[in-house]
Amino acid sequence: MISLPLYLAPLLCLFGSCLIGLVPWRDERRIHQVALIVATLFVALSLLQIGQWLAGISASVRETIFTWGSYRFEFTLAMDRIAAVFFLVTAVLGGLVIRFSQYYMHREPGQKRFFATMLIFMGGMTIVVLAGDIVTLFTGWELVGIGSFLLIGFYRHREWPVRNALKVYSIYRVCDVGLLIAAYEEHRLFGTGNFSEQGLQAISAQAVLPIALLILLSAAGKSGQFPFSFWVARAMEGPTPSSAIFYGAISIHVGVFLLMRTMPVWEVSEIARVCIAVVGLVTAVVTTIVGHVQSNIKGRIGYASVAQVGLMFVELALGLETLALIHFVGNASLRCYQLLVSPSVVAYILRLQSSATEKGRPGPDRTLESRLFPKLRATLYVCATQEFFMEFIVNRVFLEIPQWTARHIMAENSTILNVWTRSFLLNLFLVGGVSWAGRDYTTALPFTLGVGVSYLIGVVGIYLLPRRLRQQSLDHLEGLSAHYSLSARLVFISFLGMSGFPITPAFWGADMLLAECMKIGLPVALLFSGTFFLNGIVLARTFTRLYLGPAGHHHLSRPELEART
Amino acid sequence: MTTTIKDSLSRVARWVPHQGPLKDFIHHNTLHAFQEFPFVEGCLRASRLYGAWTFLPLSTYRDLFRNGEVSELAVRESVEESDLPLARELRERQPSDSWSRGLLSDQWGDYAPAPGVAETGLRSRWRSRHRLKLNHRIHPKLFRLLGQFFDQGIAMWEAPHPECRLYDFVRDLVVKSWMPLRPWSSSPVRGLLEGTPEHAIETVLLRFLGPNSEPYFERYLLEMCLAHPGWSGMVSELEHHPEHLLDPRRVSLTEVCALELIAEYAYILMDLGADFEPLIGPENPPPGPLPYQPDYQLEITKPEQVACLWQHAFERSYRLGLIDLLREHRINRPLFALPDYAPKFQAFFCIDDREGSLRRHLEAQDPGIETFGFAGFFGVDCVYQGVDDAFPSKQCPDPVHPKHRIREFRVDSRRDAKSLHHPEIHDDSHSLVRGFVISQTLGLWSAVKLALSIFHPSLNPLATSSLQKVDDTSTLELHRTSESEEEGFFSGYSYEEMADRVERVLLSSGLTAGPMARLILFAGHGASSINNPYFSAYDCGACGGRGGGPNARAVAMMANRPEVRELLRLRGIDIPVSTWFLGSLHDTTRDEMRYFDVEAIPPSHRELFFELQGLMEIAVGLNAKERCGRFANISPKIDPRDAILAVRRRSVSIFEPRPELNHATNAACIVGRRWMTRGLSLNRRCFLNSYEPSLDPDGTILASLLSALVPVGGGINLEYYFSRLDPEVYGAGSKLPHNIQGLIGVINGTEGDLLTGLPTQMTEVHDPLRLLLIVEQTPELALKAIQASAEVEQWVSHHWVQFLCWDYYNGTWHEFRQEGFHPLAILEAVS
Repeated sequence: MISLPLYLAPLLCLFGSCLIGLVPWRDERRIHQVALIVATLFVALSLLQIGQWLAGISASVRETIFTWGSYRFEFTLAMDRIAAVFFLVTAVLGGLVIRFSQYYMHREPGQKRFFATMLIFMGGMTIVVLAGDIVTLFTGWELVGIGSFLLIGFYRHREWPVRNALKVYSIYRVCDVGLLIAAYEEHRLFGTGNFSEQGLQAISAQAVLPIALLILLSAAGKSGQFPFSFWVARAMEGPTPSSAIFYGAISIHVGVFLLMRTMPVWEVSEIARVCIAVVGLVTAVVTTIVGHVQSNIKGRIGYASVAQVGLMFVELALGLETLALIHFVGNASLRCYQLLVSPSVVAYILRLQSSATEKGRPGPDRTLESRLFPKLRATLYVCATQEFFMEFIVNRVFLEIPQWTARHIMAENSTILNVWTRSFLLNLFLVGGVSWAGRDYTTALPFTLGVGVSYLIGVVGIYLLPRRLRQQSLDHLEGLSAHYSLSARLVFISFLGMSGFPITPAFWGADMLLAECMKIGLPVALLFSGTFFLNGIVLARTFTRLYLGPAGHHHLSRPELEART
Repeated sequence: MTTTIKDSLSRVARWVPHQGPLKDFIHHNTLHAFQEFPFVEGCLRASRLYGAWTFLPLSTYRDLFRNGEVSELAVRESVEESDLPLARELRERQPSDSWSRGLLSDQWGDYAPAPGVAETGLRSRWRSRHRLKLNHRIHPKLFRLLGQFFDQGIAMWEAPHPECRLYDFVRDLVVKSWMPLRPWSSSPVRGLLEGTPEHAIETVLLRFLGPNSEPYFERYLLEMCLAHPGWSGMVSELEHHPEHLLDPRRVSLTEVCALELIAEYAYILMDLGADFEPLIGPENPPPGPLPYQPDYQLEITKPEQVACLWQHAFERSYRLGLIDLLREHRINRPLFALPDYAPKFQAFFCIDDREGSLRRHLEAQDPGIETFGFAGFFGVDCVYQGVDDAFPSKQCPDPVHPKHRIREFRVDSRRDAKSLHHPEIHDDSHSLVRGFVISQTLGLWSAVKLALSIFHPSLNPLATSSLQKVDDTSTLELHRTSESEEEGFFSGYSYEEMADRVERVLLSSGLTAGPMARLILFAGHGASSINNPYFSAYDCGACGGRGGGPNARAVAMMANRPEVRELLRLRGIDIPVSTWFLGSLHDTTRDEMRYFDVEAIPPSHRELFFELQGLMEIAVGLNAKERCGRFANISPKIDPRDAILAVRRRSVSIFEPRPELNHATNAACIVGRRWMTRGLSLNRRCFLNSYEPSLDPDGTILASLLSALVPVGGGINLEYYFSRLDPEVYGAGSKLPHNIQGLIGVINGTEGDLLTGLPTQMTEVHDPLRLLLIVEQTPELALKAIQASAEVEQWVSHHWVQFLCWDYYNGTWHEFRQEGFHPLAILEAVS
């Protein structure tokens, strides 16, 4: 039997996604056909490849995508036990959800976007699980993140989905930076980002600790662990199947996967293990309590799921990898199914309540709560209602600096062109600084070129807007994408490029630069990745404010507009 | 002063949506509050208040015209009859054959509704003047508290003290908790919670709006309530009807407003400091009148006038077509005339627009079959308690207040109730430890379940179906033996009362005008669906949003009683001994027919019953086929047998957001003799109410029919109408992201406002047309019947329904216009 290269599966999804992009949006049938064929092939491919792996035919891939001077960008994929389980669950649940959505999304405007994003997500997820080194993993990680952003904000003409999409994106961005720095620390420490090679080296627990903590930060953020748990409920804004596959089934477990994958690295550090266990345990307890007061069904399922993910963290800290794997499979399937049938809960509970054979309300768990003193009870209830102030804490610790920067340095309340230009200049300044410090100007070239081209695309997009819209201040959501979709698309591409999204040139450029930074020293790397992080958030905020949200009256001519107000 | 706040809020409550919790979903006119205005004016005023669409976008009308759904003739009539300035201009300037071209042109631009008062009024000054986004900060916190307080069984922990009022609940939390409940715990506003809510409202509003600003309090409160219409509406509904909840809560809109104002005050103090400028002052003049106030200057923009003319033409097109169809049919009448001999079967169906096609298919099977339409509760106004029910629920139209209870009990006690539990959806998996065990063990099983329910949908405990209530081992407790009331209801009916109900059905439907068949069927209807929070909107509207099976069964049992027949004979209604009545239930989603009390059918009628059953199977198949033609993803050429399988599969598919199309496309209601419509394909667009004009010499029967038909039929029609026109403001938007809140409503995301109206999946194929009521009677009697009820008169004279009278003597048509009927000049369009 010929062994199939592992990159076939993610490539298939990304290819399918592009193909859907080419189908006219009115042609629902064709969109469904493409999505279904791709999903079916994907499931078949995953089974084949897992079969091959079980049969002992290794099909790992290690490709050097490009080299630039001393820099080598590698793309490594490999299959092992963890990857096989995650791959299988992603393929099966993803396939089922796509099949489900074909009926469910019938006639829904925007379903082209929906299916294209679902495939991007599945492709990204496959890259994450099959990744053999940390940079490859990061590529998939970003794809999953952007898929999340797009599907939370699926109803882009409404205010809350867009605001929540941005909120979740910001938290994802925190995780990205954590992972990015961890990646380079690993490179520095092990001399390689390849997971299979890392385990072979003996490194002192102390040296590993910062990496472990950074990984924990990323894993906790992406998996909704304490103190990030609040975003999981906020993310339930898209169509139910997307919530089911992202926040019920797969995406929520990415943190668990990251921990499993990097286990050889942090395993040696006792402190790291304790930290992971503590985070998991705190999450499990806190989100269970928060979940108990949720009066909406998706919130309740979301918190229940996060609590189980917390337990998986504990299991991993204890070294029970197999248990965590089984736990993951069960939890993912259960929550996915629960979310998909969540609208049934009304009829179901009402029938129980009105049934003569059942008694009263179905099992509200009063036991713990009613035993407590009134004061303690009220306190617990107040904390649970406010999610133990998690949102407040995260805002204070992680998001206040970017918000301040956005407002004061990037002039986010001026015009879009102003923000875009400032962001570009900031990038140039950064590149200049790093190259000057490293005395190596050639490494700066790819990044500068990548960002420059993206910036130009953005400028073209901005200039597609009528003058009065281009020049108005970005005070609130404007919803321009409803009437200026080409402009919105170009600016979105530009946003991806300028924020260093993988598979854009700026990503590799940034990667090279970061490698360069690591040579100079950690502070420069921190500065670089910090700015990178801020830039991404600011651009996302600006894009969101101008293009998403409730559509105003921009299609009206000026006199008409004035006549109305 | 306190009373004025209460009064203000009771006036404010009028303008928020009136929609009860999900379990009691009942169709009603979305703009009920505006019914004191003529229709178009009311809609326009509402659009100014809520920021909603009044008409479809102009481009949609142009498409309709191009597709031939709006005829040239209708456009001409619409322009001719309109008193809009634009229509006058067109009439004066242009010849009538160029009007449609004038309306088609792009010169009018398109239009979109301006934002409503909640976004542009007094309260929005916080945002425009001080850049304060109060809604963003307060809504999630307020909604979360409200959701937890009203929760009916989703949260695992009940809110502490659900027996106290909302205001006390929040105060208790603030006082007792060691941790702050933001923002109500912040020190400057905490004291306000100690007093009454009215006091808090007064204090805060006086500070917000400045001295002597009392006249604007109501306005501020209105704007605040309209910023979250769903919750305001729910609270005001539950304030007046706490019985909507199984687990009642004590609440008032005043308390919600007080809590929200306190929160606003806290944030304003935090951001602006204690000495902020009031919203009304020398530089900030008070705002103008509100759209519903008489001194409001309602201006209709040019594009709106164009749209209004188009909308009238759209309605007129349908009307012209229907009139033509009926007139032609009248001429061809002899072909369909009933034979002189007694019909073979007679069947009563609900007037529901979904039953029309089944009646047509059934009649087509045999010329000896005659069908009648009567409101699906068949006059049995009761609360009903089935064998498996813990308490009774109302089984009659919303305006009726039942005095009787019907109980079902089981004859054969061997049959046990099935287990209703479903581990995946039950609470167990949400607690930490049990969740751990379940996801480690049952977890994988749910993937299998998911796969099964996607590839092989089948009935499971999650589905709701009216058929679940059909039980062949039970019977009804109908006859009242004692006169005492139990919980406010008589248990059952006396023979006199039964005779009243049966008489009403038989007489007003005109059944008594001809000979009676040996087997007469009463068919109630219900629906089946899964994963559908709106399940109750799919059932019978005349049965209070429940399946009509029990009523059909009850009325048949009543009519079979010898005692009742004896009483009816004394009243002049002679039911032959050889006539047997049978109750049944038609599931409109699954196209499945179930019969009640089959065992009780006398042996002499068995053969007849089997024949009816056979014919009904064929009719139901054809009905399913007709319905399939409307689903975009099923081929219209499908075989009836496969059609039945297809619709049944739909009803149990968790991935199917449209188990059936429900009342979508409803447009007319015909009250008259069946031969007016027998054999006509009305495309499932008409409510069909049987009525024999010659048996109603003084119009009392018609008056009593209209008193229920107009609000119920009109309510269904207008709810679809407005939800289609503005799916985001009047409707609930797409169903796909919906999330269930506390079993009482649906929200978007986890912290959105409750959504009211219908989701787009129910309304997208609907054409927004006002109900066209066609009554077969003389104009004099019709007018008398309309004037018999003030409510009906308001509906008709303000044109919230269109009313046509078809004189049954001479076949002339009359239209209700200003205060009376005017002969309809039918333009010659037949050719």
